[in-house]
This record gives sequence, C-alpha cells and structure tokens, in this order.
Amino acid sequence: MCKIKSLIALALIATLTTSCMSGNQAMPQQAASNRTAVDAKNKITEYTLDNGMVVVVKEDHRAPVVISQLWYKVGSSDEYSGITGVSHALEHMMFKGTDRYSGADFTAMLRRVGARHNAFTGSDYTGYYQQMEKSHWPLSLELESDRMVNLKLREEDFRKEIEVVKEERRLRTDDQPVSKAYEQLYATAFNNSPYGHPVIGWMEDLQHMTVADLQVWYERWYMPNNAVLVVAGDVQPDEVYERANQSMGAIPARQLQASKPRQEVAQEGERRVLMQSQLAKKPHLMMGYKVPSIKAKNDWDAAPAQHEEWEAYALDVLANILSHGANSRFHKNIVRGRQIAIAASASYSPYRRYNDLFIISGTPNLEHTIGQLEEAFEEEIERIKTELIDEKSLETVKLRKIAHEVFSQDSTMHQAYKIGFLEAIGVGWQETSAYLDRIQEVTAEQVRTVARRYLKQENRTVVHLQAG
Amino acid sequence: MTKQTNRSKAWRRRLAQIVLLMAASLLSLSALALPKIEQWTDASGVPVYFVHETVLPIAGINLIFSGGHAREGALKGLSNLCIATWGQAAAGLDSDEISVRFSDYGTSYGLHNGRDNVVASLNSLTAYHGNLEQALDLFIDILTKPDFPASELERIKKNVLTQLRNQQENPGAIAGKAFTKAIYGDHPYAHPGIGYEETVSRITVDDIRDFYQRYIVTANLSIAIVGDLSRTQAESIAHRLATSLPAGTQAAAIPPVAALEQEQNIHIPFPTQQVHVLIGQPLIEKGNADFFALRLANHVLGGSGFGSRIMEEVRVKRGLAYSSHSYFQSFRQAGPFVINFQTKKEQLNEALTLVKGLVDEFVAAGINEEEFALSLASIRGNYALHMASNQSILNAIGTMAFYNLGIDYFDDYLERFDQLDIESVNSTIKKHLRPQKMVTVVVGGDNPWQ
Repeated sequence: MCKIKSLIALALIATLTTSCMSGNQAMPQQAASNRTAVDAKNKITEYTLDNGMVVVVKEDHRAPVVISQLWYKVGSSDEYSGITGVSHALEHMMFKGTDRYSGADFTAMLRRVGARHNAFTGSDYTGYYQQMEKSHWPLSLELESDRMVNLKLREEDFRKEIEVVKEERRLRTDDQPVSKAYEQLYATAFNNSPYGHPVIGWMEDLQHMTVADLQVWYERWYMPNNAVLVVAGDVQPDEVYERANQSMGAIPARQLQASKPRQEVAQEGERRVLMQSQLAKKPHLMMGYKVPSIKAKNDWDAAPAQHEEWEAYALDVLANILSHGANSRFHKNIVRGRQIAIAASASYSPYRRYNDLFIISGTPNLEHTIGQLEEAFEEEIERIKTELIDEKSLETVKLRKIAHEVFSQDSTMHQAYKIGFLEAIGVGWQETSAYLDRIQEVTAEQVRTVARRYLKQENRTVVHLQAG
Repeated sequence: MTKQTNRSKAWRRRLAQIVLLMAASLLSLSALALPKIEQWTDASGVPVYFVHETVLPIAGINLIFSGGHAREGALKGLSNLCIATWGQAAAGLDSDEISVRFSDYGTSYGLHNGRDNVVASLNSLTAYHGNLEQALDLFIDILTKPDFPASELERIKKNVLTQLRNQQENPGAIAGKAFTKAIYGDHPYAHPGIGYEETVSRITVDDIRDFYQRYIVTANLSIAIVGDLSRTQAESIAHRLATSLPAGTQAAAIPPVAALEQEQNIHIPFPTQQVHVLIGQPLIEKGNADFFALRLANHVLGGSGFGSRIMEEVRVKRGLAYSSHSYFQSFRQAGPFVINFQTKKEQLNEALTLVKGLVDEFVAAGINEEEFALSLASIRGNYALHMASNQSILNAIGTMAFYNLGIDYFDDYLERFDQLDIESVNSTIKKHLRPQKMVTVVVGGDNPWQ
C-alpha cells in the first residue's frame, strides 16, 4: 500500500508544479464575489454568473493554447418517442448561423485563426468546443453567446442538414452490424428509461422531424442557466470570468422546464435478442447487466432501494479486473488460455444521469461459437462471485488508475472534457479529484459484492449477433 | 555532434502583450515558441532527439526502427505478426507478468508496426522510487530477449484470420484495400499491414525471428525522448537502449513509387445502404520540398473540414454526405492523396460527378487569392495546437528523427509557408495532381461506369 500512497503524492506533484505565467494580480472585486469554488491544487476555479451560468476554468500553461467548451444540459435522455434525435439534429443546425454571423461567417472566423472546432451530443449533454492559439480564444465567447440566443433555424438549411444526419446514421449505425446490435441491446434492456433510444435517433423520427421541432427544443433548453462554460489552457481565471460575464452575463436566465423522471422499471427475468445481419461476417456477443451509476442528487431520485455510493467504484474496479490488460481474467483465460475469443471486454462508465449497463462483450474466433463464448463468460462471472480477487490484482488495478490519471494530464482537451461532463450531468467537477481516492478505497470484498448483486442472469439482456 | 535550437522564452511575454481578438494573419506567429529540441548522435551512431518538458512528471521514449511491412517480402503480414507475438513473452516472462510489472512501475509500453518502421515505445512516470530504471530493464529485456513462443504465434494467427474476416463486413476497409492496391500496383506499399489469409497461415516462428533479427538492430534505430528528464539522463538512457541491441546493418531502401499511367475505375458490389468512395493517387514522400504548397492547397480543397471546398459543396450546400474530405500522407516514399466520402447509394452518381468536377476545377484553375490568404492564416494559427502536449511533441520529433527532416524543420515550418505565393501553389498542384489518371474505388450500390 505504501507504493500506492507515494503514487498519489506523485499525482499531486503533477498538478502542483504546473508553471504559472504571470505573477500576482489584483483580483477584481466582481470576479471574487462570483467565484463559487476553487481547487488550488488542481488549478480549477469555478464562477457562477448572476444569470446562473456556471464557468469553470482549468489552468494549464504548458503551451499558448486554449480550449473553450460550452455544454448544455440536454441530450437524448431528455427526448421521448417521436422526436428521438432532436438534440443531435439541433447540434448540427447550431452551425447554420444567426442574423449577426451567417453559417459561412462562423466557419470563416474560426478558420482565419486556425481553430479546431466541433460539437458532440450524448445521452445527457450537448457540447460545442473551439481550440485555438490563446490570443484568439475570446472569439469563442463572441460566437457562442450569439448562437445561444440568436440561432436562425431556417427550413431550407434544415432540409439539407437532416439529410446529413441521416447519412451519419447510415454510416455509423445502419451499415455497421455491431453498432446496430448495441442499439438493439439498449432498446431491449430499457423500457421506460430514455437510454432505450439511440442518441442519433430512430430513422423514422429523422424522416418526420421538422424545423419546428428543433425550434421548440432550442427555446426550451438553450439558456445560460442550463449551460456550463469550461475554459482550459493558458488563461488566468479571473480574466476568463470577466470576459464570460461581459459576453454572456447579460443574457437573461429563463424558467427551465426540467424533464420528467423516467427511471427504468424493474427487470423481471433475462431478455435475449437473436439478431441476424446480412452484413455481419462474424458473430458477436454482448450481455448488458443493469447497474447503478453515480448521479446527481435529484428530487425524483429519492426513491427507495437506493444504491450505496461505493458500488459504482467497485463496478469500475470489477470491469478492470475482468478485462483491462494482459493480466485480466478475460484476456488470461478466454483470449489467451482457452483461446475462445479474439477479444473480450467488460465496460462500465460510472457517471451517468440514469442507471446504465455493465456490458460484457466479445467476438469468438473462427473455431468457436457464440454459445461457447457465453459459457466461458458465465464461468468467469461465477468465479468472481465465489472467490475473492487477490490483493495483488487489486493493487495492480489501483496503480494503473493512478498512472493513467497522471498521463491523462498531458491532454488539456481531456481535462476540460472531464470537468464539463461531470458538470453537465450534475455530479460536479470536484469529482475529478475525488475519483482516485474512492477507487483506492475499494476492497476485494466489495468487488465480489457488486458482482453478486448485479451480474445476475435475471438482471441482464443478451444479444447474439449472428453472421448472415 | 550537438546542435540546439534555442528559441528564447520571450514569446511568453510577447504573447501576453498581444491584444486579444486582433486579426490573426498579421501576427508574427512564426516567432511562436516551440519546444527546444536537442539533438545528438550517440556513441553507437544512433541519432537522438530530445525535448526537456518538466511540467508533468512523465517521460515518453520512442525507438523507431527502419523495418515495417513494406520490407517483409513475400510473406505479407509478417511484420504485423512479429509485433503481435513479440510482446507476448520475453526473458522467460509471459504477457501476464510483463503487464503486471509495467503497471507496478507506473509505466506502459507499446509496439507498433508501420509501413516504413517498427516503433517500440515506453511511457513512464519519472519521479517514483527509481521506477524508470526498473521499467527500462524490463523494456530492454523485451527488446532484446523476445521468446516468440510457437503456441502464442498460433493463437495470434487465429486472431488475425478472424480480424481479416471482420474486415470483410466493413465497406470502408474493403474500399481502402482496393484503393491502396490500385494506386501502388507492384510496389510494397500496395499491401495491407495485416496481410492475407494465405500468407498469414504460412508464417512460422523462424520467419518472425529472422525478421526481428534483421531489423531490430542499432544500425536501424532512431530515438526520440520527451519529458521530465535531464539531458544527462536522456543521454544515458539513449545510450543504454542503443547499445543493448546488436549492431546489425541498415535496412535496404524502399523503392520509389511509380506515377499512375492511366485512369482506373473499380466497383465492388456490397449490400450496404451507403456507397463508400475513394478517389486519388500516390503523391509525395517525406521531406519533399513541395509539401508546403500541397499542404496549403489541400487545406483549400478538402483538408480542413468546414470551409474547405469539398466539405462545403458536398455536405453543407447539398447534404450529400456526413463525411467528405481530402488528405494526403507521406512516407519514406510517396504516400497517398485521397478524397473520400460516403453517400446513400441512390445519389452516388450525383455526388461522384460533383466531386470529380471539383477536382478537375481545382487542378485546372487552382486556388484564388482569398483562399490562399485564409488558408495561410489558418495554418499559422493552427500551428500552436500541434505542439501542445508531450505526446504530440514526441510524435513530431520522432518523425523528424526517422525521416531526417533536419533539426530546424519545425522552427522553419511557418517560414516555408510564408515563402509561398499563389502562383507557386497553383503550379505545384498542376505538377502533382493528375485527375485523368486517378484511381476511383466505389464499394456498394450500382456500378457507376456501366
């Protein structure tokens, strides 16, 4: 354990030694009064504008580069039948311009300064980012503050852009058997939870989507009190605050109509899908077990049978024990030892707005069937439910997590993404530093407990993708 | 011999004075600080490139060997199999033990198979109880004492055969293989790194060992190091690594790529909703002086996302595709120039005619003044983003070392763009791009040429 402690100290040094470009500055009064949280160790400063918009600054002075991300707390898990994909379609249309800056102006302004820029939509958020040489970054605020309120959703633009979205769906899902199988896994596992429909939307919903649907969505969700600005890189926090307040502080807050809760109904027995794809050339197996997530504390979440907080971290460690690295159970026993699969993985993301799936998946090699792979997975799961994992394996996982944390500080984009993501789902960026501590506290007994509690047949959905 | 580029840190003060939101194109960004790159030749003759980066307590080391799948001869897939089997067992340790030990040291390592080279990399924490020394010992064991167990080779061959089957369901992979084969013909670059079923099945442990012994030698090595190490430490690490290997002899040169003689149109039926289209030809090798003009030209054509001609015409104006780009790569010899897009099969002809017309016009009329100025500004502004992490610096100096681009390459990079004018860019486009002799591959839909 002393090894682990010194590594934690090291992770700390990594953040402490980040060089600072300028000396002491007089803190402007207003910045100080709107500063709502500071993590000096990790150089993260949070402000809340008077209109409710949250601004989080992560300093990283290694290179004269800034990344600016604007996150809206809306995603496909706010959607319902008939309008699936509307958050993502709106994300596409956000590049079509305002009265002030046309879509072409928007593109040209960012091109002129050599910015990288794009956007992303997930089940729990929609985000927009620009990365550029630091002297230009306020351009981000100029463009984002404009399109937060002034977007022009034109019928003519929409008719073309929705075709682009359909091509994206064909490219990423319809013509990809494994992606389609994942879509089936989620659609089968979740009845009431909005995780049952895909982020990009069902094709029929895209076919019948109108620009009016997008207008409603834009007006409902795009407002400062539903947004988080993350600025990371070679910047001074108070200066970021001043600029953000200047460009976005005057945008009035509006009444936010939150989505109604749609927690998943209890699953009573295993669900199985047999998918036959003409495109698939080899079989693929996936098994999704319903598990708890680390979530924001919602009013509607005070339901009975609450999960204990450590469970999510134990599930994270469990996924690592099963499938991360050459010493993992799946690799050692299924890929290398018995040579049943070419790849076998266990994946779990602890932070979500709703409860999600712990997914075990794999591709059998040409000499084995999907049924044989399922049996092999069953045996490994059985073993992890009976025998305690050894301390050495547990320590290896923990060491890897610490080293990974230090290595990940090399990417400013990744740092900003973690902060924005945790803010968008309501967990809070402070979790970025709490995570490692929680992982270090996980015990072998807890790993066995979550395996017993959640990796149960009656709690899972199994998809067999058969080659056509 | 030691040479250093010593850009002062004055840029920090300088940039602080720059008024925010000023027009980008006027700024003297070529004075933008780059990491200080140090270069020396180890006593073993190995060139070493080093950047001292102290903010994070990490170091990355890349050992780049001439080798790769362009040099594997008739046994296609040999280099890939060698890499995959190599890390599985060394100095009597199996992959399980190797993986646990590296984790204990706060370290990870990787082996990568390229066309021209094989790269062995080590990423390590630097400030943790002598871990780097232990990690280096293990890394050297892996480099110098691979066991290549026959049982592991057999297992990995089965995996590769399954992967080859996987690729048959991926229209993008099918199109890529057909395109590469068509533009390279008899050249070794024509073949996929993964090989073919019939060649992979034939490869033995002896073949792998021969390949390893031929290429993993000091005479074939360049080293790149970035991170929280002193120059002295870096020198000593490079020396240890370089001298742990047998001297060997340099790899044979890769032959030049012949220009295409005639237009080729290839249609491969496939039952997807979309067709995948690739259009292109071989372009230039690393170090070719025309790189700068072609980089700027491609920025205009389709290399820079929104605002580039192909993206605007195909996606933004007509909604014909989600992804539509052009790009080029350079290797020891000419890499490919590629235009790619995917569209639903019903509109293949419309999209194909449009894109071919864009290429014809691009070559015939070139770019205009406005495009020239905007792309130049864009490339300048974008430059800072390419050296913003240890990993990106490591990749950059590794390329510099392996392809012998010269120690001033990155310092002079933006100046090389400044020296361009629109006439030189347009004549360089005409010199290299031959729309009438390009390869077009269409996977899916109806044959557009029937």
